[in-house]
Amino acid sequence: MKLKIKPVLRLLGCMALVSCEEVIDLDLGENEPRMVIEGTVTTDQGPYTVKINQSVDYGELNEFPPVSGATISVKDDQGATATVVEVDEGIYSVRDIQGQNGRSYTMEVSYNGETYQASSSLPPTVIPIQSLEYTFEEETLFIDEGYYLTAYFADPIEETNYYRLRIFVNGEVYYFERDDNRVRDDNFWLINDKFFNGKVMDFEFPHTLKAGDKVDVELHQVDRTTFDYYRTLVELMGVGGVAPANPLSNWSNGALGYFGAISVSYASIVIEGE
Amino acid sequence: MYIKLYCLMAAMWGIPFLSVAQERFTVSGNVRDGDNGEELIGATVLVQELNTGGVTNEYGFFSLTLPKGQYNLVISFVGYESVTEPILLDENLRLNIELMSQSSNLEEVVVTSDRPDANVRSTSIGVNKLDVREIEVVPVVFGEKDIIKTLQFFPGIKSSEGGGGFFVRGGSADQNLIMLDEAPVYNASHLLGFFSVFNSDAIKDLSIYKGHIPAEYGGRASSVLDIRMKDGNSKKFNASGGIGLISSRLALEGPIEKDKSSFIVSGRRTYADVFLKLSNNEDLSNSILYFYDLNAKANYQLNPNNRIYLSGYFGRDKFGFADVFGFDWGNTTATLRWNHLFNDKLFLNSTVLFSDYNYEVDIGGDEGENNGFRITSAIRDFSIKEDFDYFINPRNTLKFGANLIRHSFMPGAITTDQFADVNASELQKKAAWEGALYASHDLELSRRFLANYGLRYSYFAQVGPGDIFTYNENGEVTNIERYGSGEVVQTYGGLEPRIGLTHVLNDESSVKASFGRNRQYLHLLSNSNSGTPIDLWIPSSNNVKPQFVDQYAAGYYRNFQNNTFESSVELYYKDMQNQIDYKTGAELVYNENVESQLLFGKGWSYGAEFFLKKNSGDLTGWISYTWSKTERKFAGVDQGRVYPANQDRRHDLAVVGIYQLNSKWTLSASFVYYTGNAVTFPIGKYEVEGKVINLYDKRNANRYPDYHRLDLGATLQLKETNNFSSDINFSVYNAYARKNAYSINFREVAEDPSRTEVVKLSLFNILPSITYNFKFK
Repeated sequence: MKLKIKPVLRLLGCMALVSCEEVIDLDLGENEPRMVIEGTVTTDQGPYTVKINQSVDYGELNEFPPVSGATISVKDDQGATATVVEVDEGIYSVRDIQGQNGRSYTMEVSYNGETYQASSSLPPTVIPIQSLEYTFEEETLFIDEGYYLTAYFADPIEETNYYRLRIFVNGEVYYFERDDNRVRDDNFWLINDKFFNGKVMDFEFPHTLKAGDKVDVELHQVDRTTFDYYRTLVELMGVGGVAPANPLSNWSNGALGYFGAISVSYASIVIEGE
Repeated sequence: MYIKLYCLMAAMWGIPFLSVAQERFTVSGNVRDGDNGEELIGATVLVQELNTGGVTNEYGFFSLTLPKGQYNLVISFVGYESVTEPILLDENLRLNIELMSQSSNLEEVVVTSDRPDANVRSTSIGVNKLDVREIEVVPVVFGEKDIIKTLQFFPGIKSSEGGGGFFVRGGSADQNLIMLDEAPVYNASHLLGFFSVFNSDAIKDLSIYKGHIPAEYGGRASSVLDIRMKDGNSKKFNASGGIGLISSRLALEGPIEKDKSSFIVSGRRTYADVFLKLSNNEDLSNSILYFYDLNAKANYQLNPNNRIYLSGYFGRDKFGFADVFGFDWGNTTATLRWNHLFNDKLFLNSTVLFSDYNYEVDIGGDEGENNGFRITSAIRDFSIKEDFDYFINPRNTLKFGANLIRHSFMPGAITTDQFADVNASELQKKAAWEGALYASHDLELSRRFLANYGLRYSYFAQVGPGDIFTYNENGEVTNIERYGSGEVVQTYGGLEPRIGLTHVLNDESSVKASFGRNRQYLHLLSNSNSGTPIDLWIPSSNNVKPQFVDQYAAGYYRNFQNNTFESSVELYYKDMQNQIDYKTGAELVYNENVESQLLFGKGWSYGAEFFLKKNSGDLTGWISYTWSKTERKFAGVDQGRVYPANQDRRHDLAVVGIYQLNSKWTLSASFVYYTGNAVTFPIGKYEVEGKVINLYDKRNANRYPDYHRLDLGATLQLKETNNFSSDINFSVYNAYARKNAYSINFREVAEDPSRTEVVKLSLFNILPSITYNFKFK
């Protein structure tokens, strides 16, 4: 997959020629807080974490009140159930259950007399990362000089697959240098097999790497519901379109966030200089 | 009873039941521009003695059938010296009349007493005609004169800065039928909407119908923008052109056979890339960024009763970087027309036309292992039209005709190089037939009462081949049925009544009312307010019903000081059914099941439009103000809550002034003010995976800040000789550097992740530009 987005963005930037940005004051009102529930079950060894907090008004600081004292249950379609313990304010630990490929999972959260429910299926197989490769690119108008990493994995032809890749450089989240800003990598590198079904996928990361960097890559395979959540979340983190709306969450009763069953594989590589 | 009916019929059809014995003859002919032989559309031919008359049709033809006698015909057209032609009508007469442009002797602008009072006396309601000479002097961005941008200074027509689409009386952008020499133009934007595809050098006339749309037009629900290309100078060869900040233009025109046939070829190209080529930086010099337009037209008069026109438009945007990435899009249209006069009263225009819009995205690959691929998409029309004008007598003109369109849709295809890692694939092609029959009657019941009424019947058939999907409420496929080639999947059709009535109160004022229904069978899917090259046209189908709009309008028209000033107040109410919106997270790009991503609902809009125009004198120009409200209601949006449409604007004001300072300098200014568009801002925020996410609630509950802007222009006429003239146009866009919001973004503060900020992006500070125009005569 070699969609080189960066040159396109730069060219569009050239077209805007004489644009200018300005921070403004905007009163966006006060609103009732909403529940935000993030939970996953993966093919990795547990325990898994569920995080519950609340939304705040736009003008406030980025401090999101944790929701303590919620009752949470997790079970799969074969009758396995988990025990859930609150380990910190709003942080819950899901124990005694192990994500199994092909099973589906349901999480239920009760708080303040309201109940929220979500389900997600673990894809049938773990898809391994076949290899990680990197190449050195010269400095051009569109890309910075450095090493660029590509992850290869084989997409099964039988079913529709949905992937998310995550990348950590030297054990940390990467920051992109954009003009004068450092922009944190959201790590939502999404791809599905709509155009690549049955092929060896090659996902090229836009991260500029240097000799000596240790790079860890995670390949997450999710179901359609979780992918739709990721996709609409990413759209929102970008421009948002004409009519921005909250992402397609699988939570009932208006809760935000998502519950995802994720099949995970890993690979690592160290960039060696010439 | 029967006698009453006969009297009524006789009155309607102008049957001269009181003067049956009187002999009648027809005077017909063409009205042309005396300098270049261009036929004038909508010129008035007045029979002074009878105080009646007619207007020329789209081909400059008029026909008046009158009792035998001696008359003076007064032929007039805005911006031209009137001509009085004495005739002795004792046999059928054919006249060719030439009017001289007033601009050929600008020093003596005469306010004539017989200035057309068309706005008061016609049955048109909600119609604006743009004089191409007004476009020349109104200041615009980068000095690129642009008819679509200039249209927005008229009431009821709205658009955003940097948006290619426009919105008429609350209708969406796809509800405008944009026709260039009758061929529909499916994407009228260049450079992502900053410029329109219409090079005004090649344009003779344009009218926009936003209220009463006569029955000869159909296919879109809100408006018709009818653009006619120049025919070319049939008297002598000339070349004209201009050199501007971002583009250059050249037009060549001349007679093929003097006074009988002519041609015009007009081109425009931007040249940002030419400067990029000069760059030492290999990356810049490898960048591609330009657009061009080419208009060509030729006509030939076989004999006085037959004339053939062939016209075409070819335009394309190209955008890319070396062989890494390419993106190009454009329209092609072609129109072949045959004007035939059966006799002095019956005029037929037959048209065959073609229109194509397509885009191609080209992704380059690495040599050897990882080759590139292309995504293409297209819509294509073939169409035939027969349009009759029957000039019964000065009080009755009947128009009738039929048309048939074959629509072909190629929503998307991916083709790949040998070693591509992308699979080649193709979305199903779609096909449809669209046809219509119409009759439209212009009737002068008396000097005081005029009517244009008509009926259109339109029909649409979605045809195979293809697999036709049925969806449930969740957008999941519940049934697939295979249809063979040409097999009818779904049909729609219905009547579209149109009526406009005028009551002339006195020589200077009138009241008018109209009703019209318009059906629309094609729909544009776009995830952008301003329109993009990859917007997708889809046909009505088993899943998508045709849109239809009923519009009621009324107006009061008043001219002052011998028509030096014209003014109007128009009110409208529009009811819009089967409107389209998108589900949250809709995937509109390259999706076989794109119809499952749609929501259907209704909308309405109403408003009042005020217009005051000064037609002559050193200072000309107009003021237009619109108060309006546009709302929508979709079961799938906010549980059916009524919300303002994106294009909803309460106030919209435009002022355009053109001042002829002396024989050398023309100054111009335009000012716009409007309420910001409706928009959905976040009401709060929350955190997912450590990232702050905006929380949204009700659709379009917020507003952009008010928009206002002043543009200034000045044109200096340089020394003129017998065969050469030139001028320099200076303009300043956004003269007082208003920072209007192009977009408002919500994001984390880069240096302080504990806070978020609201950022306004504005385009075009003060933007001066200069254009040099020349003409070899």
